[in-house]
Order: sequence, then structure tokens, then C-alpha cells
Amino acid sequence: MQSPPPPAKRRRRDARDEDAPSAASDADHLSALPDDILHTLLSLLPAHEAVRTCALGRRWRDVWRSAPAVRVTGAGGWDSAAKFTAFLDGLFRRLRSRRRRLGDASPRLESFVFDLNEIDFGFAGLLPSKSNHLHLSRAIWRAARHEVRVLRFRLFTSEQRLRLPDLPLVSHHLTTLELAHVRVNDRVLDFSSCPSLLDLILHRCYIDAVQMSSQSLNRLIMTDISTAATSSDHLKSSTCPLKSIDDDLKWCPTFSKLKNLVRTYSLQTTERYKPREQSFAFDHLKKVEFMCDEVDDRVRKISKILSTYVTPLQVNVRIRCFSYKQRFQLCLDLRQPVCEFLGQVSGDPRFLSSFDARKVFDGMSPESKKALVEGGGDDRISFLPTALLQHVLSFLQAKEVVRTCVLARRWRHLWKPMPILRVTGAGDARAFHTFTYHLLLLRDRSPLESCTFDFNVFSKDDMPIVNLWIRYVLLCQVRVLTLAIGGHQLTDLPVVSPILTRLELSRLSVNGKFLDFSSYPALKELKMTNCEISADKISSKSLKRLRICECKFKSKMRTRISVPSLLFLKLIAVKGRTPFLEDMPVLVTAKVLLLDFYCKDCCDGNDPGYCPVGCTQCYGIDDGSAGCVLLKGLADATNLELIADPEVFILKRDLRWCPTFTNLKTLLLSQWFESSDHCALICILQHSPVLEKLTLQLSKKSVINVRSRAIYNSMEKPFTSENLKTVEVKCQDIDQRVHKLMKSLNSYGIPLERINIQQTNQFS
Amino acid sequence: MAAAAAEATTDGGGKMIILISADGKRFEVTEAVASQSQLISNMIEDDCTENGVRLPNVDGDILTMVVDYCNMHAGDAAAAGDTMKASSTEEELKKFDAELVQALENPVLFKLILAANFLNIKSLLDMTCQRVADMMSGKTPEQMRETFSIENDFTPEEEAAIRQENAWAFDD
Repeated sequence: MQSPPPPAKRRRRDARDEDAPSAASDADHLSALPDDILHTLLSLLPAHEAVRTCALGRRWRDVWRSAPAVRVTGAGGWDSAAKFTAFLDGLFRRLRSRRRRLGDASPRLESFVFDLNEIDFGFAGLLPSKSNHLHLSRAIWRAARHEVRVLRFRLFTSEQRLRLPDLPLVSHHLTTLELAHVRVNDRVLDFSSCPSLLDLILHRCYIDAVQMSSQSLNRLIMTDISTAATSSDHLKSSTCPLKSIDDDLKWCPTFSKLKNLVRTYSLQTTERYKPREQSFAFDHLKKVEFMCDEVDDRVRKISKILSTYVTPLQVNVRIRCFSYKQRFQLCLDLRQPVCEFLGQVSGDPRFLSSFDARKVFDGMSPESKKALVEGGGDDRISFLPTALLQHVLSFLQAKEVVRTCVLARRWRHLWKPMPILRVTGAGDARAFHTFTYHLLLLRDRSPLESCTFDFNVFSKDDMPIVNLWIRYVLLCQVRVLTLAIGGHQLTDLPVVSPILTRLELSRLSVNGKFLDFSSYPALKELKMTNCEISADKISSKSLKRLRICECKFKSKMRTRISVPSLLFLKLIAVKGRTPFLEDMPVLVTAKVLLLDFYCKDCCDGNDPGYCPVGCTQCYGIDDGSAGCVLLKGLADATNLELIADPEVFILKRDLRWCPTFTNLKTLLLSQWFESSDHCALICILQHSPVLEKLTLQLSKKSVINVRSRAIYNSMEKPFTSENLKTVEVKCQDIDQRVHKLMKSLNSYGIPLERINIQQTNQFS
Repeated sequence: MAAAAAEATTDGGGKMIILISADGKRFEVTEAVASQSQLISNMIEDDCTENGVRLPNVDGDILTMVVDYCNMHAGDAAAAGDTMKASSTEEELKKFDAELVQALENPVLFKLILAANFLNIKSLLDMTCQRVADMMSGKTPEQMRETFSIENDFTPEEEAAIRQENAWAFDD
């Protein structure tokens, strides 16, 4: 047995002692308490005492194992390191078996706390021994495996800091992690495997890492942190992750160790560190609290320095005197973009002497320095935090952004880390190339959020260069890419980007391999305007929105569009052959607009769409073998707009293979459906069982005297019109056609009162 | 505003929230209006708006503008159901936005940017930043310094050096 077998008698007496105040009688009131109260009770005890209650009686045997919290302390009276590690082993083993035995029904183990103090041990052998070292630090990982939400590991030692193994923590449940007096490294600080982690508290830790990262962290408290202080590398890196997290999550770092922070910043400035980093920590700074024994010169000095850093609008220095013992109590509400800076003046005044105020001032923007002296001025733009200035600049063209570098010192390097680039060109091609080369080479190689290229390519020789630029920005992890490059031909190679989410192409020609988006797993939105598309297939598994507007399909065969995840589709004014739509099972809204002077799918025959299979205009390209070109792919849409000139046959031809529109709720048809007997309209209505709203737009002139052949066999079949609530007819004049239309709708069971006629001059 | 508030309450959704500016002015707005601010929206979620929301770094004047803006744009989402209505309000909104932002003096504009950033109202932030960008666009550095009264703290030699260094962006 790993836990020291307790003298049963003593335990029982203890139990009775606890009992005594609540009941005078001999009855065991304690054991009579419900399980959950006992669990709570036991979770208040140190682990070794909680475990010992198993000897109290049968009732108590397994109670401790269901307590929601386990707290391991060093006060168990162990006389050797081996006994303590054995206790830990036993504890973990018993806890694990509980989980297996009780399954899901067992109350969760919510928190696991190690409260170990060197003094309690009274034996020196625990830490120096390497195996004990490993054993102790691995306890953290073992505890995490119990799916705890809160894990605290506090090991109070004088000098020796426990080095944690180079392993990332993996837990889907962990929300709070506290580490004290340990050494941590890169792997440990990579919390990508702890997706629920919200709070991280590091106290007196030695950070030997270049990066700390977490996608989920809301609150970070670091007190008395040491880094490898002599190496500037480490100091620099210790701030970088803060920047990156701050950037993404708007959480607020709390530093309790002023010494470290000030030193860090003075170092940055001496190294001409980018101004961006400097301002980040302070952009949201609202409140500065000092916790110290008395307000002395050190406090005044620091608050003065701080007040010069923080934009004057936001300075709010409060000095509170706390007793020395209270100094670790930190509490913050971090949902707000407010950052508190809790400075702690330790009893050690040395740091001030090592701290060169002059250098700190160097890093400050001169504007705010001046403003501090004068207490205001009209130059308010320079008071904006760097992030906001960059937001303003992101609306400007790249050239104008770069030119702000001469405005003043503060602006000098502002353009370099801009996450948004708008490269637009006009005029001299050479000068533009020179500019763009410099821009791309001299900017920081920081990730791009969005990039726009908007210019024209004049010679074929430029194309490889432009393609190189495009590849460069894709390498910069751009998320939104807009390419409006007149006359340019994109390289016929698939380009890989794991994070590109939106792509807009206009005035380009695009080839097949580029339009195979299987190497863009994050691509959600694609817009193509005025492009020439030479591809057999456009395919993407991830695409949600697709808009193809005034694009020319040059391929001899119909281009197939294969986008199974698509939600929204717009296919506007297709030039050339209409593309073939593959199935889109989750499609919500689609709009198709086909114009006779663009679309090649037109037929001069006097009733286009109803031509016999021999007609070369109608069937020349696919011999009729393609079957349903558009409608089959659109069959799952909820909202549909189908607009086409009467001469465009493709929609009418599709009706031969008309699918059932099982989800279709609203439908707009314009022009193409008109014929003397409205058979196209009737056919669609017969295949739309749940249609609720129908809008019909008639063409301007009454040119339709088309006598259509009844090629649809289901002409007689009535359609269910219960769901159809409104029919809107939009026309210029209420003429013969309208009456005829109403008559035929009525004859298929749509009451006249549901038909609503609007006279209008507009046609889309 | 009071009328709008009463309406919202009868609609069944609208709880009122009190916003308190730095100089102690109080603004009563509906939840729908206030939650255009991501900051306040989060606070509503967390149920900590009971005793009013103190905004210690937004002046009353600025907050008036922000509340006006939010009131205007809160109708936005509600009216979206009716396409005709939405398009007309859309035009009105654009006009309102343009007027709001055109009329602003520089210092007020920057305060509004800071407030929009603090309150996390993306559309207002974008609009105000766009306005500043428009004011910067097409200006030489000298004109920009004048417009925004930016003090040139380079020595002439330094400025020449920087222009030289970035000549690729300056030759036209």
C-alpha cells in the first residue's frame, strides 16, 4: 500500500471530533451525510488525509476517490523521497481505477492541485535526484490525463526550479493551468493541444522558450518571471508571443514583474526594435496599479516613465499600498479590451539602477512626448495607437502608405508590417515594377491578411514577374487575395495555400490547373469577373460562395463546375458555352442570368429549346449526351433566380431532364419561360412540390408567338399548389400575355387572388 | 429615442441598457442598439450591465455620436426582411453616415476612432478610418503634415536620407 497506513483508531477519533459540534449524541452524523457533501468535504482535505479516510469504515472506502478536487501537499510527513513518489504513484493508480469502475456516472474530477513546499519535506533528496525530478514533473501530465479542468502545480523552493519535460500538454478539458517555480520551455508553452485553455498563470517560472502560443487563452498572468536575462534573444522572444496573442485575441496580459518588462523594453529600443511591438502592450492599457509597501521614489519614477508611454487619453495611475503579503492577489476581468498592468515593486531596488531611462524615452513617439509636455494639440492623429494608425493606412494604396514614412519619426517604419497591401498601378510600367519589387522585398516578412493587385500588364515578358509576386503573397499566408490584373495570364500551375479563404479574380485569363482548388483547403469564396476561363473543370471541395460574372468560357467542351459544398452561386452573363453544374447538395441560393448576345447557347430556330436532337446549334457541343446542364445541379436550391433571354435555349432544353426541386421555396423566372402554352413554366411548377413564392418577369415586347411542341410528357399532370402562397407577375403593360398567363396558371389550380400583378418599367 | 425604446420593449426583445460616459452623461439604449458594440454585447452575454456600463474613456459628446450611429444602424438588421424598405433605408443610412463623418473636425474624428475601437464597433471604425484615409489620399507628405498638424521631427538631412532610402516610392 502506497499511502502510509494510518492508525485506524486515531482516524475514527478525528471523525468523531468533527462530529461533536453538530450532534451531541453518539450517532455518526458524518457518515450519514449524502455522498456529494462528503465529496466536497474530502476535496478540502489534502490528498494524503483524504485517502486515509478509506480506513474509516465500509461507507468511506471509496468516497475519497469521487471527490471533485485533489490537492497534493507535501505535509504528509514522508521521511523519504521514495515514499512520497510511491504515494503519488498509488494516488494516480487508484484515481484511474475509479474512473474505469464508475465510468461516466462518476462525478468529474474538476481540479488537481499540487501544493508542495520544500520545507514540508524535510528531506533534501527529493529534488536533486534526477529520477525524482522526472517523476515529480511528470505528475503534471498524469494529472492532466484525468480530464481535469483546473490544474495547479506549485512547488515552492528556494532556488532549485523543477525542469519540466520537453512535452506538450494534451488535454481537451483543461481550462486553467497554473505553474509556479518551474522551468518551462517551448514545447510546454505550446498549448495548441489544449483547445479549451483559458487561463494561464505562471509564477516565478523560468521561461526558456522563444514562443508561447495558444489559440484559446483569455487570461495570462505572469508574476516574477525570469527569462534567460542576459541574452537579448530571449527577452525579445518573450514579448513576441505576447504580441501575437494580443493581436489575435484581444486578451490582456498582466505583468506583475515590472523589472522584467522595463528591461525588456529598454532592450528593444536599443536594438531599434520595431515600434509596432512597443505599442502593443500599451494600446489597451487602462489602469496601472502598484502594489508596494510604501510610495517611495521608485514608484514615482516608474509611474512617471509609464505615463510617458501610455497615450495621455488613457493614463490612469493608481497607487495602492498593499501589505507585502497581499502582493500576489491578482484579479482581472479580461473579457474587455482593457489591460491592467500590475506592477510590483519588490524589496530589491537594484533594478532601477540597471535601468536606463534615456533609452526608454528613445522608443517613445516624439508626438506623444511633445503632447505630454504641452498637454494637447491638434495633431491628434499621432495619438492613435499603432494598430489603429495601420487600420487607417490599410485603406490607402501601397504607394501612399510607404510615403508616410517621411512624415515623422513615429511614421517611419509604420508601413513595413502592414497586414493589408493594395498595390495599384497606372502610368509607367517600369516605375511600377520597381516600386512593387521594392515594396515586396523591403516590407517586413510578416503575414498578410489581405492583398490587392490592381493594374494592367502590357507585355508578355511581365507575366512571369507578376506570377512571382502572386506566389510571394501566397507564401505570406494571405487570406484574402484580389487580383485585377488586366491582360494577365495566371500561371497554369496549381498554387498551394493552406489558408487562403477568399480569392477574387478579374480581367485575367485563367487556365485549368489554376482552377483546381484542391490545394486551397480553406478557400470559401471565389469571385471571377471579366475573366477568360480555359479549363475543363473548376473544382473545390471547400468553396461556399461562387460568383462568376461576365466571364468567357473558352474551352471547347463545357467547363464542369464541381463545388459540392457550395451554398451561394451566381452565374451572371456567361460568355461562350454555359458551364455544366455538378451536384451541389447543400446549395441555398442561386442566380443564373444568361444574355443572348453573350451566351453561345442560343439558337436561331424559331422555337429555341425545343429543337430536335439533330439541331447542330443546340446539340453541336455535347451531342445531347451532357443531359441536364444547369438545372440538375441547381435541384437542391432553396431560392432560385433563372433569368435568360428568350433566344437562350439551354434552360428550356434542360427541362427535358427536369429534376425535382425538393427544397425550392422561392423562384424567379424571367423571359425565357414565356411561350404560348407556358409549358416550360408548368413543367417547373410540376417539379417544385414545396414552392411558396413565384415571381415571373415578362419581356418588354410581345415577341413571343412561339408555338412550342409539347416535348414534356407530364403536361396533364396537375401540380400541388397548396404551398404556393403568392405569384407575382411583373410586366410593362398588362396585355394579352398577362391574361393568358393568369388563365393557364388558374387552370392548373392557382386561385386568382394569389396572383399579384405589378406594372414596372424595370427589368433586371 | 425614448419612443424607440418603448417600441422595442413592446416588441418583447428590448431590455434597456444605460451607458455612462466619462463625464457622467447617461444614455439609455436598447440591447439591440448597444450590442452593435462587441464590447457591450459581450457584457450583455455575461450579465454585467445591470448598473449601467461605464465607459471611462469615451466623452459624452463622442458617445452621443456613437449612440446616434448605433440607433440609426440598429434598424438596419430589423428592416432587412422587406427588400424595398431595406433599400430605401440603406440609402438613408449611407447619407446619414456620409454626413456624420464629413462634418467632423479632426480631433473629434480621432476621438470617434478611439471610441469605435474601444467599443469594438467594426462598421463605425471602418467608416471613420476610411474618412481619415480619404483625407490622406493624394497628398504630399508636406500637405499631410499640414492637414494633421504632424510635427516633422526629422532634421533636413535625416529626411533627405529617408527619401533617398525610399526613393522607389517617391518618384513619379
